[in-house]
Amino acid sequence: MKNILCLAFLLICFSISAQNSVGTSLSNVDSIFSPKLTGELYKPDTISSRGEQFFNGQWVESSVLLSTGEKINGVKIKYNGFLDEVIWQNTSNFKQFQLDKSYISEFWLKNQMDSTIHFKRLNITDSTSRNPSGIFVEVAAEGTFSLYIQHKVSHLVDELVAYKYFVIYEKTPLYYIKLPSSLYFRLSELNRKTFLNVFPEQKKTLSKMIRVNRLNLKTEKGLIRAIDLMNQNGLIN
Amino acid sequence: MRKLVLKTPFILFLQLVALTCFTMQARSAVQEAVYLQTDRMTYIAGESVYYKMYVLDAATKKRSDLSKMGYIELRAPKSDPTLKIRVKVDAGIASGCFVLPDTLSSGLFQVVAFTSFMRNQGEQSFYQSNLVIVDRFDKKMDFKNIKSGKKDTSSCHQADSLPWIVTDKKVYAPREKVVVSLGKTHCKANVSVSVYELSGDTSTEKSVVETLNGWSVNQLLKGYLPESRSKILRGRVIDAKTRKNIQTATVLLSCPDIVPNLQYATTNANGLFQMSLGAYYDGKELFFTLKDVPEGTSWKIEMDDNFNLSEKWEPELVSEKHLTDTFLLKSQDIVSINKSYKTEVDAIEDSLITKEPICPQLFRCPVKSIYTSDFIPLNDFREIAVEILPTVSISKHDETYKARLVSFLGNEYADKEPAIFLDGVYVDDINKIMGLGSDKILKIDVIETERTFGDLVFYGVISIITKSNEILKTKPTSSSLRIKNDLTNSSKSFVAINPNTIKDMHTPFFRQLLYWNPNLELKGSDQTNLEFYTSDNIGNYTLKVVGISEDGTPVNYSSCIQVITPENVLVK
Repeated sequence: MKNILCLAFLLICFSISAQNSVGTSLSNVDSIFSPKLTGELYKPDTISSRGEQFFNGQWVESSVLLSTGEKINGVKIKYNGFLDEVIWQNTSNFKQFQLDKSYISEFWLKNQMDSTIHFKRLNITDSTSRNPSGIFVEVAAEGTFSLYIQHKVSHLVDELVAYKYFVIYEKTPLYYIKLPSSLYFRLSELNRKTFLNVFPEQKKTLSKMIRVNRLNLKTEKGLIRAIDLMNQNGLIN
Repeated sequence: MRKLVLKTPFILFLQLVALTCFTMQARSAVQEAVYLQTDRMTYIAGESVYYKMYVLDAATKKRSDLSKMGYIELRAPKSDPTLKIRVKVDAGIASGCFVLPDTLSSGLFQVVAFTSFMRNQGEQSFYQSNLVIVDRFDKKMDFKNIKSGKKDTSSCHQADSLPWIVTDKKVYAPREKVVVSLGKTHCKANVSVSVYELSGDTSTEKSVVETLNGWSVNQLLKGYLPESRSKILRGRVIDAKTRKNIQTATVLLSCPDIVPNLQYATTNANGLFQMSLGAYYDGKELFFTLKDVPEGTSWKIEMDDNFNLSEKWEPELVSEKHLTDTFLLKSQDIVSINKSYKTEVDAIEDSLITKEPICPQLFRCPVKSIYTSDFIPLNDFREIAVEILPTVSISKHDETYKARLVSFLGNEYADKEPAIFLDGVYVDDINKIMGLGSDKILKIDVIETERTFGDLVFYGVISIITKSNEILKTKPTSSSLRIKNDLTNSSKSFVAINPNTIKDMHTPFFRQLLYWNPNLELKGSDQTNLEFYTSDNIGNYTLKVVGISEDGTPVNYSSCIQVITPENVLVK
């Protein structure tokens, strides 16, 4: 009996190892010929600051979908909400590069819980944007109606503390609701009134939905839930 | 304890058996095999050869989705290949046609078909079959043929007792419609159907069953990667003097375009590098350059030929021809008639929705573009830099020029040279562009910042686009290489003509190939019907259905029809 068990164990082990070796050689094809990221050297600010320019403080392994439709996995990136740019740390030379914005369509940041946060580049022209290639937004909900969050970081007035100037950065998220007609509405503040103003013809239905589901539209969570419910209920604007 | 000692060799033996079995199984799981089906086995030089290529998993015999490129070569005995064709494989299938050169002399030719990944199994695993090609004007035809004891697989036979291919009649008059019904298969199958005039003799064609049964699992020998995306080009960097392999050398590839483009690879311990050439590179001039070659060295790039076969074909030819001369003479006459009356039908290109090829652009950011036409004429690039490129500084040391750009942070010039691109191609030496003045340069793009392209870092970029592709006139250095990439053979279809639609009824309509459909999907449960027309060519025709079913079972059926004169039809 022991022999049989021992043999079975060996068979399983070798089978796995043999299959793995083949799998590895085939996955090599993709890694060897994966497209190359392009960008310019990024020099981090050395000025003392309060608050963060980055959405994610740590370099996280991420996937990037390029505008050519190709995907690159396992790259270490950070999203800079102040510049609205993606910064890549090249692990071969440890230099940081600001990736060419128009080359990036989407990216997925892996967070500590092993889940991913999906970002997308929207071709929206923002008067405050430094780059004409659109804006990066987090995909909060997608369907007939979509909700995107731009994790914008703003530079507030410099603060003088103990004879030293501090740059103050503050998170100032913006919310974009995409209608079935592909029109975008931007919400700079979250409340029931601004939300209902986006859908003037559906005010009654939406008010009822908010009341029945006890949605708090002053919170991001409440807004996402509202858009999800609108998609589930098949609401058409 | 004694028991354990006794058992140890047994366990070790089992271990060894298990390891061998599973390694073999795993390797065979990703091995490929190719079968090539041609519309006929005998051709007149100048005719089209219609083909269908199957790329199959050697172990399961099912269609392989691994390789996306296939290679077909045509070669005469003891000669270099006459034709080299690269085909695009989709889900294990490629079909199309190629035209035999008019200049081919009569003789026996070999068709070799393979994928790059099959090179791991050795060239003996490549598909090989023979074709007879006859020069249209060669009436002597004193060429030698190969001795074959096998009977032509295309002769009339039915695999089952019940006919699988059913035609509405067995005997037809010229220009008459033929209705064919193909039987059921146990599962879905993709087959090719050809109807051609029987040569009436033996041939050396390998049937699909014979080919599939002949495959064996071989050991993987070399590190050839499957071309699962596109063509993979392999090369080597060596020292031209010592012939030693150079490792960790960076090979850059770009081709003439209106945007700077780049691809790179680093050599391994054996000096080998590989690059994936997508559709963007099809038919283009490829410029290979070595980056940062140490001074005083003679590094050189050598490329592998994807079509390379290590040995020339040396069949045992005998004087006797197996094909009757009368058949070949008739074939020559038919081709001549069709040429005289211009009734040859060219294959039509399949209208496929193809994606726009991806250009590996060096940068995708806004750049400062300067058009020389906006300024007064300037004699050379040095003058251009001084007058209209404020961030570019050109200096001269010992008769060689060097370029510098304003650095990222301020007005100082960076201590390293920027990357220079001429007509989209990376050039390793700024001196190659120094002679270019406003009369030749159309546009200059300058990026002052330090740039990355994958793991490569460039200290700024100067890209020059000329009015008449000056890059093609530059002389490559010893560490550079320029080659022309081949084109993928386009997918073309056979045009079946309804003779009743020919306006002038007196126009001759002679065909030896009546029908060719490389991609007929058999549903399995239902019968499949097809129809075609006979021509004015009287003779016996073979109707052949060859393919592979979904579960990897070969499909191989054939049947015969006869075309006789209308008078004889009435008598019959």
